[in-house]
Amino acid sequence: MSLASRMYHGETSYDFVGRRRLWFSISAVLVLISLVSLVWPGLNFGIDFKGGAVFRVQPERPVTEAEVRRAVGSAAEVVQVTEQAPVQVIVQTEELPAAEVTRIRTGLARVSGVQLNAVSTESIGSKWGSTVSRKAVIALLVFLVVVTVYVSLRMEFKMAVAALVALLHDLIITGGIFALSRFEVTPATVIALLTILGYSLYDTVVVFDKVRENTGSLTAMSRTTYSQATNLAINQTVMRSLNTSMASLLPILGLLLVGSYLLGAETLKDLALALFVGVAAGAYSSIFIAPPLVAMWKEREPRYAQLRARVERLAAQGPGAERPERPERPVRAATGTARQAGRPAAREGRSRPAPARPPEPEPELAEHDEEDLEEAAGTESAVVAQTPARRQPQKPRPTQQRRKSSGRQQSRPAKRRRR
Amino acid sequence: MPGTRRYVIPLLIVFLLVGAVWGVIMVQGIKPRLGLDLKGGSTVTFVPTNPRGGTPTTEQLDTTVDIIRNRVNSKGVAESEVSVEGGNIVVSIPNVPNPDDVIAAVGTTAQLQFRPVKEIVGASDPRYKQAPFNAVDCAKPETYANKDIPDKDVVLCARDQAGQLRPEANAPKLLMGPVALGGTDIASARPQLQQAGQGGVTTGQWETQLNFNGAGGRKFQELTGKAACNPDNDPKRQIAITLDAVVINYPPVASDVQCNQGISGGSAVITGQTQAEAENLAPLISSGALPLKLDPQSRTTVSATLGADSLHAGLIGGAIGLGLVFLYVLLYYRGLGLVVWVGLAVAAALNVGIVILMGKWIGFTLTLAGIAGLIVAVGISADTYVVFFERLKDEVREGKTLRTSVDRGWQRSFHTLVSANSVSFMAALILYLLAIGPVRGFAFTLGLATLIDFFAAWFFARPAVSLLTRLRLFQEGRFVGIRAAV
Repeated sequence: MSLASRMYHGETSYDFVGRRRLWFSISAVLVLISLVSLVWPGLNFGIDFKGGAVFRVQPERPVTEAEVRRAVGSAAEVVQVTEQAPVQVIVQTEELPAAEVTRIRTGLARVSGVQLNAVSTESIGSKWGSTVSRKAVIALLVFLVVVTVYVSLRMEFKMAVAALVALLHDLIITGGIFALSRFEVTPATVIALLTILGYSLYDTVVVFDKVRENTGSLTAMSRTTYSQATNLAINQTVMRSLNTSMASLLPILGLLLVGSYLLGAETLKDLALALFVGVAAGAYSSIFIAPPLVAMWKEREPRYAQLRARVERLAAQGPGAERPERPERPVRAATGTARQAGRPAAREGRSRPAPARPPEPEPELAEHDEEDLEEAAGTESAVVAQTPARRQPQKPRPTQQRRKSSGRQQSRPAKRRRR
Repeated sequence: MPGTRRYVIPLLIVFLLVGAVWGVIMVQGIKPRLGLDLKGGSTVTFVPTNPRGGTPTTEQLDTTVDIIRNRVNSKGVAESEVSVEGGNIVVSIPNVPNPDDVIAAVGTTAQLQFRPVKEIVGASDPRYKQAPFNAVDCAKPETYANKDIPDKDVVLCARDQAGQLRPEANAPKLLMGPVALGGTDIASARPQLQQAGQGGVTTGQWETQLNFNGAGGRKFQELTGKAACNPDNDPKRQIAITLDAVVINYPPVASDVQCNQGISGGSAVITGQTQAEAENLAPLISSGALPLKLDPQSRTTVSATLGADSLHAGLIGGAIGLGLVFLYVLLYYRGLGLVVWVGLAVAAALNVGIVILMGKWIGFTLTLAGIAGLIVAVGISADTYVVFFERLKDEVREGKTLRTSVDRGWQRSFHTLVSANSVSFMAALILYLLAIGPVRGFAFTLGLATLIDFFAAWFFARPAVSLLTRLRLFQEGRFVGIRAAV
C-alpha cells in the first residue's frame, strides 16, 4: 500500500518517538539558522516599527517619477510609479512632522490631479512601534502563563512545558523565515504571530489529548511503554493534524493569492504569509516535537522506567516465551499499527515497524484475551476488570456493552488508582 | 424513527437562529459598520504626555477626549470618534474633503481663559440674533471655534454647567472683554465640600477651589477688583471662564468683595455648586491649566478607493478560501463533506451576521484585520468536523457500524474540542483585552468565531451527522469517505 493510501486509511505506523533524534536535530538546525538570521540580517521592520511615512495615490492623470519628486521635494526617500493599471504612485519618507505630512499630501494631490482625501497616508512615529510591540509582548506573556496553567490543570505540567517548547520553536522559525525572506514586519505580522500561538497550541493540545487517553490506561503490568503509547497516539492523530492544517492553510492560501494579485490587500498578504509559515510549523511541531518531548521526559519517571524495563525484558525473551511473558498488545488496541509497535522484536525507541497489516482480526490473540483477563485479575483487578476485550469485528457486541468497556472509562480507574 | 426528534430539534434551533439573525438584519436594514480602512477616512493616534512628567490620569484623558471631541465636531465632521485605547487617544475621522485640516485642529493645545463679562443674552432675548451676538450660532461649533482671540472682545456660547463641553443649540451667549489671565496662571483646581465658618461643619454644598500662582494671583485680584465695582446682579460683576472657545462657567464676584480691592491671597472658590458640577468643572480648569501634550504617533489616511479595494480583496479572499475548503472536504470525506459544507455555511452566516449586529448594538467596527479573522475562522470551523470525522473513522475501524459510531465518536471528539477551542478562545480574549489597534478587531472576530464554532458543533455537527448516517445512502461504503476508508 502506498504511503498516501495508508495515511488515508489511518494506518501509518511511523515511529515518531523512536526517530526523535532525527527530527529534533532537524528542528535544532532550523531554530539555529533562524536565531542567527534574526541577529543578522535581522528582521526587516516596516515603517510601523521604525517610524516613517508612506503615501499612496491613484493619479487621475499620467504622472512621471520626476514630476512626483519635484512635487514632493527632498523628503522623499523612495518614489515609485507602478507600471500596470491601475497606476499607483507610492512615496516613502522618513519620520515627518505633521505639517510636513500635510505638505507632501497636498503636493501629491496636485500633481496627480486628485482631491486631498484621495491620497492615502500612513505616517508613524518611531515610538509607536515600540508601544505596539510592548503591548504585544505583554499579551504574549499573559497568554503563556494562562495556557501553562490551563494545560497543567487539564492535562499535566510536563505537557504544558512541551507545548510551550513547540510554540517557541514555531515562533522562532517563523521569525527566521521573515528575516531571511526580507519580508517587512508590519502590525499585521504581529497579529499573525499571536494567532500562530493559538494554532500551534490547538494542534498540540489535540495530539496530547490522544496521548493522555492512550497512556492513561498504562499500568505496571502493561506491555507497552509510555513512548509506544505516545507513538500510537501520534499515528492515530497524524491524519487529523494534516487535515486540520489543510483546512486552516487553504483559507490562508486564499488570502495569500488575493494579497499578491489584488490592490489594497497588503495587510492581508502580510498576515497570510506569517500565518502560512506559522501554521505549517505548528503542524510539524505538534507531531514531531511536542509528543516525543513528553515521552522522553515521562520515561524518566520511575513508574514508566520500570514499565519500560519490563517491556524490554519481555522483548528480550523473544516471541517464543511462555505466557504470561507473551508479547503484548497495545494499550487500547485500535489499529494494526499499535500491535506492531508492541511486537516482541521491536526494541523500544528504535523499532522499525513492519508494514502495517490490514486490520483483520487475529483469532490467535483474540483467544488469549479472555485468559489475559483471568491471569491479570489477581494483581490488577481494579483496573483489569474493565480492560476492554479485543476488538472482534466479526461478531459485534451490543452497543451498550461496548460503550461501557472502551477507552475513556477504562482509563479513569487506572488513573485514579495511580494517584 | 425513534430518537429522531432529539436530532431534529437542535437542527431547527440552528436554522431558526440563522434565520433570526439575518431576518433582523434584513428587516431593520442594518449595514455592516465598516472601519475606516475599508470605507476610507483617517485615524490618528495621539500619545498624550504630561508636561510635568508622570502618566496622565484617567480624568485627564477623559477631559482631553471631551475637548478633542468638541474640536472635531467644530469642524462639522459627522460620525467621527474619539476614544481612549490603551492610554492613547485615538481619533477617527471619516472621509472628508480635507482631513489634514481636522487633524491639525485636534493636535493643538486647548486655551483656558478668564475674561470679564460685558453682556449676557438668553435665547428669548431679541438681541440674541442681532449683532454682535449673531456672529456665533451655538448649534454650529464651526461658528465659534478658534474665535477665542485673547486681546479682543468676543462672543461665545455657555455650556450647560454639569454637562458636556459642547454648548446646547439655544445656550446663552456672552460678550466678554479681552483675556485677563490664562491657563498658565493657574496652579490647581479641585472640587471640595463647602465648610461653614471655622468649625469645619459641611453645609452639603460643593465648591471649586482655585489656586493661582504668584502672577496669576495678582491678575485675578485685579480682574475681580474691577468687576466688583459693578452692582450685584449686573452681568459685568461676573467672570467668564472659557476653555477652547466655550464658556464653561461664569460666576459673579461675591457681594462682600470691595471695588478695586478684589480677591487677594492667590486663591478663590466658586461656590453654590452641586457635587456633579464641581467634579465636572475642576478637571476642565486643570486640563486648561496643565494641558496634556498630544503627540501624533500614528496617522493613517485611507482613500475611499483604497478602502473599497481592500474590502473587495477581503471578500474575494474569503470566497476563495471557503471554496478551497469546500473542495477539499468533499474530496476527502465525500458524502460527509456535504455536512461540512452546510456546517461551514451556517457558521459563516452566523459569524458575519453577528458581526453586523454587533456593529449596531455595541458599535463594533469591522476592519480588514477583522475580515482576516473571519477568514481564519473558516479553518477553525472546518477543524471541528475533521476532529469529529477522524474519531468516527477510529470507531468504524474498531468494527462498529457508522451509525453506532456517531455517539461514541462524538463524545470523544467533544472532549478534544473543549480543550482545543478553549485555548483558541483564551488566545483571542487575551489579545482583545491587552493589545491595541488592529489586533483587537482581529481578536474579536476570532473569539466570536470560536464561540460560534462551539455552538455549531453541538447543535449542528452532531445531530446532522447522526441523522444522515441513518440514511441508506450513507450505509453504502463508497458514498462516505469514512466507510471507504475501512
